[in-house]
Amino acid sequence: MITLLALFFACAPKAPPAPAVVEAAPAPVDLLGPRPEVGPEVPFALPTPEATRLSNGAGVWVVPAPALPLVTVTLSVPGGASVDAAGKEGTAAIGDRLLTQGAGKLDARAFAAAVEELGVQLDVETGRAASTITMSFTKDKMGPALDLLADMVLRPKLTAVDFAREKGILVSDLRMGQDEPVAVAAKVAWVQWFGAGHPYSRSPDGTVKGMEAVTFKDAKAYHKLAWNAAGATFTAAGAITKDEIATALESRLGKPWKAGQAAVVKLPPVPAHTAESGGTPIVLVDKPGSSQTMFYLVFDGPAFGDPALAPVKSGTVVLGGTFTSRLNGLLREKKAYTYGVRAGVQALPGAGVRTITTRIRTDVTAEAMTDLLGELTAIRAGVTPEEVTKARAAYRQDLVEAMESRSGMAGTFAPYHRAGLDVGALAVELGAMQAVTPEQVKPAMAAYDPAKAVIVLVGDKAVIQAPLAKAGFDKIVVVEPL
Amino acid sequence: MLLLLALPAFAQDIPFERYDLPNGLQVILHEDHSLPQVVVDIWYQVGSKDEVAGRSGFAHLFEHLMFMGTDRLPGSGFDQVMEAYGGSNNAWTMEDATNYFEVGPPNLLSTFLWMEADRMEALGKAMTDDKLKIQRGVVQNERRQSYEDEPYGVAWLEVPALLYPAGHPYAHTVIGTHEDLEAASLQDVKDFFSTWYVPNNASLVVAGDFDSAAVKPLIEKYFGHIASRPLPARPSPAVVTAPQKARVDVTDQVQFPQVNLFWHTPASYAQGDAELQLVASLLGEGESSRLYEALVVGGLAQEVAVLQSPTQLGSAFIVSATAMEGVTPDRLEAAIMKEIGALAKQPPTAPEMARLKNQFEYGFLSGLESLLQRATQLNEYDAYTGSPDYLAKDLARFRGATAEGLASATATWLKPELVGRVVVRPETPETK
Repeated sequence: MITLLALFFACAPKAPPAPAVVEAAPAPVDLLGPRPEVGPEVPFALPTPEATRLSNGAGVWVVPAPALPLVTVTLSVPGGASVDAAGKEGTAAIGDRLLTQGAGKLDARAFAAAVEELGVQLDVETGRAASTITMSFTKDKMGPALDLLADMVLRPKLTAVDFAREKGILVSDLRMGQDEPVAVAAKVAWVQWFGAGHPYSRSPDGTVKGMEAVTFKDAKAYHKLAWNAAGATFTAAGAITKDEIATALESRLGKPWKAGQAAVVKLPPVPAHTAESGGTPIVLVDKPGSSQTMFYLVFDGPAFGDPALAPVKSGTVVLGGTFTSRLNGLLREKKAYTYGVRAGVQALPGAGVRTITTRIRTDVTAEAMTDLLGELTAIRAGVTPEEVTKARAAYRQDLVEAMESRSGMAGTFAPYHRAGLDVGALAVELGAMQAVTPEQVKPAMAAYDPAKAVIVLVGDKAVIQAPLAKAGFDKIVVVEPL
Repeated sequence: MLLLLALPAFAQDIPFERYDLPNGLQVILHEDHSLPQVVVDIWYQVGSKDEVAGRSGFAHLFEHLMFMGTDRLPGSGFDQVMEAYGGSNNAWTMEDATNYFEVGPPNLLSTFLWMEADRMEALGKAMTDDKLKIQRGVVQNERRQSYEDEPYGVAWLEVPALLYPAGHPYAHTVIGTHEDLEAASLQDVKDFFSTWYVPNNASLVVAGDFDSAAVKPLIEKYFGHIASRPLPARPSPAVVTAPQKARVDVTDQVQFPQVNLFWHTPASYAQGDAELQLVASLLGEGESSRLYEALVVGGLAQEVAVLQSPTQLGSAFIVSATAMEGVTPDRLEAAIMKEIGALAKQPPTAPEMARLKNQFEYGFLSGLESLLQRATQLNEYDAYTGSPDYLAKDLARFRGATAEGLASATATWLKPELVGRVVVRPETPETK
């Protein structure tokens, strides 16, 4: 090599006279050195909740985590928006909302003061298929905090004055939501997918018209229907033992809380979504002047607890779950059409969907739609082993991070408990995710078929309609926000 | 009445070891073996306040460019490598600093460190116009999504100029204008990198499940060879105490008017900052807070939020309330000012102080749960107070706050004549 180099230099124009012996210039030393090898994975022991039951049959799961004097308790009952009557979407939402507006001997103001003077973080969430109260507090406040929880469940005030005030706030909130592209798209998309009248078509927070129609009697009826001990599940984590929390709950929400009939609805079949020949239909909500177009795509997905969930989750991470996912790689990092894309799975009892959401610069709406659907075609052809490995690692790490907070632990295990699964169900899912193969993922990606999707856009119709039509998306149905 | 906390001793400290490399890189190590995960958190002392005229948004745009690859790890390699093993990353830019972090399993720690060192040393020479063009587009999409198409988002674009005189480091938004983002050049990127992305302008926190003795040689190996450079002198603008305008009116595609009130308040960690954080909580945290009761329960507002937003050259105290239908912005503002005026004259009650104490205690303890939050907190303490060893003092400033102190801070800083307003009204055919 030295000889060859010497010849080269000797022949080069304007080269200095060749020295008698030419040494090759040493290659610059890279002081950083090569990228280090990644070592073996460090084992992760997912905690297993300890389980017991109260005398009324309510299940209790506990994940002891004594390092900090903090406790989170969640209480779920079946119901949620799925039991809202047609035309009264929002009944469960306001029914749950009233739980925080006075209970026991305390009126609404006194109740709020009592909760906050304890430093309790209180959240009441109305879901599509359940209502959930989450309370987090320092350990020394557990007794009075659980007293308040019991009052909410057993002795809510439910007054007409509080109902009228809270309904006004919620209606205003829903009206504000009509300016939020994400909220608008989600409400329309779920109705389009499940069909009006299906229990899962109903948005957890309701609709403007639905909430306006809810009466005080309806809200009280939701409380009676949903908030009984049948099907109730407690999931707790923090500086407590199983016996401690079971004893504390039994005296407050065990014997005193009667089990009735759980508010479980029968799910009709999801309508078939098969596009007629000649193009992919799009549902559009016009938002004049919008600088971006909101995309919300819905596809068939597995129900909660379905063994098919693991390969679906894996493929969804590959498609749109991380920065290097296929959709982010294309629409954000290559085309700069968006700030980000997200693909997700929403698994509910008995049914589920996959969603893809993004906000695209208005002037490239049609191009982005073509690219996005092209990527769906590609993923239906399969994923690589490297991509599956990435999804496996992301799932595992997400679980590790969830286990660092009490609210994370309780929130992670609660859906499995609510679904009636075993305390080891999450560990089983973790194992399944770790064992997923590309061969399993490929058939699970078949659902990402645009011909079987619901596609909702929220954007400036005057600007995007013609380019969409030109790109072949000429079947556009315009609807109003809900 | 004092705010007395009864926290366990172990919860009042984030154990750490701090040292500097010869090139000025500050290193903070925080071991925690409770879960198999690590965090690398690197804090560069450069933010939007360091942008030159005509380049608003540049510090944040640069943050995006930090993920665009180097010669050693080109393309999207930074993300690809870590995601392959369960790592994730992100970053955020504010007025005073830019913070990058990675979270993942312990076997990725040396990779995280190597990749951060690689881009600290070599990002600039691998920069291209194409990379700049892509990330400029992504950032402009972020601006559209977060401000332009977000209901009431346009209000926040008005705030810097409302509060600060032209030329002040805080007189423009972190996100920047489209015009300035378009003007950013490749040379700007290279200059910004060589000026600010140097080890003597950075602080590295390693947190989680690792062995300090094993990681120190790695840090020395990866970062020790990176040359330091003198940092430019930073301006020391005069403290601003009054808004530049009393009011800015904007319209947006919204249903109800919104009133946003702003006051200049003491800088982060300066005297009065803690009291004003507690005042914000007293006024706006939870349904028993004074403004929630007066405005939301009182039927004037749909929602209300109150915040003491701390920054290095001076903070802002913010009250934001969205009106119920039929309520005018003036009426809403009058109701807000009435509550603030009352607090300025009469200290909070004992039950209110008990509420603040317990809310603070829960918030403080729950904040210690997240490894990433602890790592970031160590860097923030160091950046703002000169030492990561500040947790006990931080607690003390909240512990020491009194009811009288809260009233006094309100009277001193939240004067009616010093408020600036951004009022958002629903767009009408005439205002479009």
